[in-house]
Amino acid sequence: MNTSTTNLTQEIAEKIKVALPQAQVTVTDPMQDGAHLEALIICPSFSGQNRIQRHRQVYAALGDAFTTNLHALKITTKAPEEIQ
Amino acid sequence: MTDIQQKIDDLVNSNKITLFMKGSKDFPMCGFSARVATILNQLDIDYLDINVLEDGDIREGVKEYANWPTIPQLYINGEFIGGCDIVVEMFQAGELQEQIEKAA
Repeated sequence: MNTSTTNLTQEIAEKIKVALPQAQVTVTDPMQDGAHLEALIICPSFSGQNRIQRHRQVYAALGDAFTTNLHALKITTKAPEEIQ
Repeated sequence: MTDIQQKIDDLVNSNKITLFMKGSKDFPMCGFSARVATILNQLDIDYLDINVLEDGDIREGVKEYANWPTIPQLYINGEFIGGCDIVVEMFQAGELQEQIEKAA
């Protein structure tokens, strides 16, 4: 992974963890283009929340970082009990 | 409610299924919009596609309306269902089909 995409994936992961400190956050750049990232977020606070509520928290955590340099972030949110 | 918010509100409440997307259902202009349109086309259901690229006010207004920063956005009976990730997840879980049948 070249450094620029590593910085971006780390930056995104850190922003999400600030808002969801209990979360286990994995951000990857499968296409290595720094624009189409994927984030898997596993967090106890997601229990009992629907997908929209969960995703809104992620978008809020990213704030304008999402609209400026990121074209697309695929978000998957799970509560711990939803992990097979 | 501003004019644009009212316009969006009218659109989503006067159509059973509404998809705000980049491009149209037959000519999507973005991968994520294409993915949702393809799912809806596969389910062979009737829906209103609104090309946000043709109206900047709607493109920004709908993000505010749903408190959701991205396009596409899917609505069923006026209720915001989600963007691409959520619609795909619901489709794979069969939940989208259920919700559409309920709305019929």
